[in-house]
Amino acid sequence: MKQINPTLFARLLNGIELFVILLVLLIALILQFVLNELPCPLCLLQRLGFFGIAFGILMNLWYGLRSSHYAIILFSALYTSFVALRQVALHVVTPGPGYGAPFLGFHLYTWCFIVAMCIIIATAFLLTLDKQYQQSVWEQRKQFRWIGNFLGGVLAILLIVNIISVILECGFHQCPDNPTQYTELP
Amino acid sequence: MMNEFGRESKGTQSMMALLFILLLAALIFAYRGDRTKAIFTFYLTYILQIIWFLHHVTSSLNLQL
Repeated sequence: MKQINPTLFARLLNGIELFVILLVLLIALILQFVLNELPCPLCLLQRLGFFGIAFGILMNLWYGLRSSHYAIILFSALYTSFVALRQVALHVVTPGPGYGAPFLGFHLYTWCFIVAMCIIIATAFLLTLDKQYQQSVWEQRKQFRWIGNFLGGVLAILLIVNIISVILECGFHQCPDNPTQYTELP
Repeated sequence: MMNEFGRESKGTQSMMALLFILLLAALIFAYRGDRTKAIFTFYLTYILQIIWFLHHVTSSLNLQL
């Protein structure tokens, strides 16, 4: 039986993880623009956390698998989960319907917490694959570079759309806690 | 400006757009092959993210932990 290359397997899992993160960020943008659900400051911080996770995974794809890149993923996932947990707790103690419309039964901040926890578990699993570091980083950088470039391009586009949206929503002032309109649009 | 807890905000200038821009800069550094600058910019953004998060969560919630 042909043995699976552990480095390739780990890189494939990293790619799937990045795809999921990009999907989450895309859904957030679709809900923002289609349902006109403006993100609150804590929601934006959660998005930043997801961008950090995506950045760590992309570093793995561009520069080869390294523990320092996994550290970026774990730090960002922990940050996202803390921010999401804070928002969940905020709506646990405050009576009311919560912020925004529920998506598939949960509010987006609850989904954020669940996804961040799944990322932490998936990354911990990836870290158990000791043999993934056997192939040199120079060899890894040559493999499937186009996939990393494509996903990196999508990530850059999502980041630019978010930058424009934040500037339109908040301008150069502090973002409103309960935004109802883009303050910079006429 | 009042924040989500009904308190006066400490600052009025936005850091949110800056955080996204810094992350984009980290991504550009990584793409151009400057790994050290990319990681440095990422951790700088990360520290600023923590500061901005703490700015939003200074009030205590009535939770029985």
